[in-house]
Amino acid sequence: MEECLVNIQQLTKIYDSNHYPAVNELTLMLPRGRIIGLLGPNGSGKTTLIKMMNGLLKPTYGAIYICGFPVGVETRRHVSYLPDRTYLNNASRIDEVLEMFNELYDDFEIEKAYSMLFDLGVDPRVRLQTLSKGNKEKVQLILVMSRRADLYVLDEPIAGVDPAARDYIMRTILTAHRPDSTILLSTHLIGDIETVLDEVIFIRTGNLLLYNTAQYVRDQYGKSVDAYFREVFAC
Amino acid sequence: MLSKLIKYDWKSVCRVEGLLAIIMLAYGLLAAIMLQTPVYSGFVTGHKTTESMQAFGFISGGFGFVALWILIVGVEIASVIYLAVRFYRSMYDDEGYLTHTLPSTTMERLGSKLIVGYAWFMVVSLAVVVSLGLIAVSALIIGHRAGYGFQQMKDGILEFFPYMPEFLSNNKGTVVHLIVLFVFTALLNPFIRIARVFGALTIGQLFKKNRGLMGVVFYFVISWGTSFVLNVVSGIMRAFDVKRVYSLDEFGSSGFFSRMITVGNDMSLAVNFAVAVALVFVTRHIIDNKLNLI
Repeated sequence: MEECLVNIQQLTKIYDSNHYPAVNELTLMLPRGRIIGLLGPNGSGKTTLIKMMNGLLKPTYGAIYICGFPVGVETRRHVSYLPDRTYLNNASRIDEVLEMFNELYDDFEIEKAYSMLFDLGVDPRVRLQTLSKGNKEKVQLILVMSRRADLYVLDEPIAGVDPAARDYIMRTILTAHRPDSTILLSTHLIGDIETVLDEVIFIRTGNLLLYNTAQYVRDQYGKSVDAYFREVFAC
Repeated sequence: MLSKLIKYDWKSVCRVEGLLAIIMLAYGLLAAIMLQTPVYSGFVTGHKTTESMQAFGFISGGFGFVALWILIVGVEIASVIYLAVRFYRSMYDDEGYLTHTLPSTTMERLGSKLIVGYAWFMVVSLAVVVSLGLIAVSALIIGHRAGYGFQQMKDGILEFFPYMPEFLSNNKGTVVHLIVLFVFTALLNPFIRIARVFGALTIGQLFKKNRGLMGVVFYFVISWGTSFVLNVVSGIMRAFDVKRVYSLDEFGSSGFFSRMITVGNDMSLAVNFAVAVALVFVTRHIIDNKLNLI
């Protein structure tokens, strides 16, 4: 039996009692060693789910267990999270941020981070505010993927960047991925990532529509995951 | 983990807070040096200068004195505002996505910011005290050069406050009480102010829009609300005390005046401290249960 890395039980988040739940009684069990696409249109609940997994939002009902622990201090040791925005102090130098991550996270591999920065051609002595948006995203991705985490949660890692940067980001994700860790990747740009996905989760208005392997979707529906996604979520 | 958080929170504010402290010290040092020049010290030492230099010394000294107090108030306010801005950005803006996903408890994250905020507030306040001290020492040196010793200064103070020896003699307990109160206030006031700012900004997060603005609004609501309640309660207490001691013919006694001075101030410090502690727990509760970074 596969080890369950993430166990989500009847997870519900209601922001406003007058509106539909942002996440509605979601139940999922995610195994180790997979690259999983969390796919859904804007407003489907992907970010809400991700925030709850990272302790940034408290569920209204339900529970999330990661590596057997409820979301809290312990799970943060096992989860490496990349939000959909720049979350670093722009006034900091890159090497200062690397040192900070190295001190605050026991599993941070600073040599790996410096190596990836060197490959990227970014001088670690520069301040973040001097970097372009794309390069900031790449630096953040390097920080996240330089941890030996059990679960990597990447929220829209390729949105808002040019195609060349997207290729770099996907290469970095694949290179850093370990067989015993899982990457949960949220996006609505499926065409760019479909080839790397092992499993896909379709979510709409907070409800789980589909959770299966990408190959099953292709075999069952006779089309790519991207094409099936467009069909399911057609406006 | 707490020590690591303190290290990085300290680093994130030290540049600006350190600059404010240095500005304050630099002004004090400059003023102390300038006071020694004949333009200013001549008023005391009797050193002969031209009338225009005397006029310049008088006017610029006045401006310098006003600038000193504006700088003191400005530096204190700027220090608190910068700490508030850094707290808001690191906790409730984009940086919050890093802060709240660190492997630390809420109290560790909050405690780190309170400790660093308290420490820097004290550093800046100390810079103000040292700055004033430098000016005071410079003034004492001028007095000494003019032939005035400590005895003459003491005689001058007594001439200004002739009833001070009798008052001090009859109210030793009150004076000691006030000194202790002053020390406690100096130690607790930075925590009270920082906790109030952080608490107000956190309460602002409960709103859907204009969270920063609501945080500022709640800062004034908490400050004024606490003052209002304290004034009402202490007013009632004093009214009952006046009524009680008037009937006992104690009105006007030194014991009565001591109570008037100390009870109100004790209560003010105690209530403000209690409110600050409550705000810390309110902040933790909101972060643990109501946090929703946008």
